Amino acid sequence: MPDFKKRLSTFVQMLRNIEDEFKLHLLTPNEQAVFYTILKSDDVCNISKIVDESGLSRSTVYKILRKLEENSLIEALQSESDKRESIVSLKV
Amino acid sequence: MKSLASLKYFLEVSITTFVAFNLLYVIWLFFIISYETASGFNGSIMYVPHAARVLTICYFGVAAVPALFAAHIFCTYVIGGFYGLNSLEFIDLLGTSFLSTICVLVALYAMAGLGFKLRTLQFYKFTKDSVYLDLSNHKHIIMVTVFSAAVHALSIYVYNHVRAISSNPEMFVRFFVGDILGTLVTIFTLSFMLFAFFRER
Repeated sequence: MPDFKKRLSTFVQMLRNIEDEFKLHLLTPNEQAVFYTILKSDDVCNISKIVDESGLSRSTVYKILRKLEENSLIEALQSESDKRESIVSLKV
Repeated sequence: MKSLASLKYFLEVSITTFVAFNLLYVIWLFFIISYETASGFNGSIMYVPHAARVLTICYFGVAAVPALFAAHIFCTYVIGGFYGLNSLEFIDLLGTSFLSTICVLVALYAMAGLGFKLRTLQFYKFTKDSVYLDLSNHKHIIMVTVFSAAVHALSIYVYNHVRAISSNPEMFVRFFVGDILGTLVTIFTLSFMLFAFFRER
């Protein structure tokens, strides 16, 4: 007996293959995780929060933030309340 | 029990097919055709509803055919007719809708003759040596699209010629190119949308 959901999932798989082959996504999964953590935060986001929510190491998060900043997707600022802390926000 | 599951599958496929074709037809009607009718209309250069034909027949098999036929008549007669796009008599509408609906099946038969077979269609006696079309591979779907566009354009051209509706060869070219372009645009747009909605983590 044919399964409707199984056939739909094959269709979605085909679309994913297009996405992968033509590299429609500019960011790696880790970069997407960091980006969406910033996107989901209401106002600004500090680095500790990104590390906690993404599950990535602090050094990886720093590298990714630098890349996102170079691509003009985010901007990093110094916190006014704590000068040692960096906060990031979307550059929109 | 088995017949109940078959009925459930048929209903799921029919609803999905009918809604998908209607959605694509409305998108085509409002966003694409308005640019084309101004300079004389002889078949669309980007007919996106062809994607519904190709994808539903490929993924759901013959179960999609009745809904596809019904959707084709409904869209052309009711929606297209309301906006003055349907100039066909009802008998010709039935004829062209039938040809448009079965064009993908005919193309798949033709491809089976060339050695490509599809698991979702149970027409053929498969052997271990059969070369199956991989439905998760977009290149195979594009190949079905090209074959079906050729069958569609040719069958509609012959029908229109026999019924003395039109004998303009430009119509054949526009149907052929329009079906391929429309399907490609739909598939790639869906792929973009998939990335936007489901690839958060």
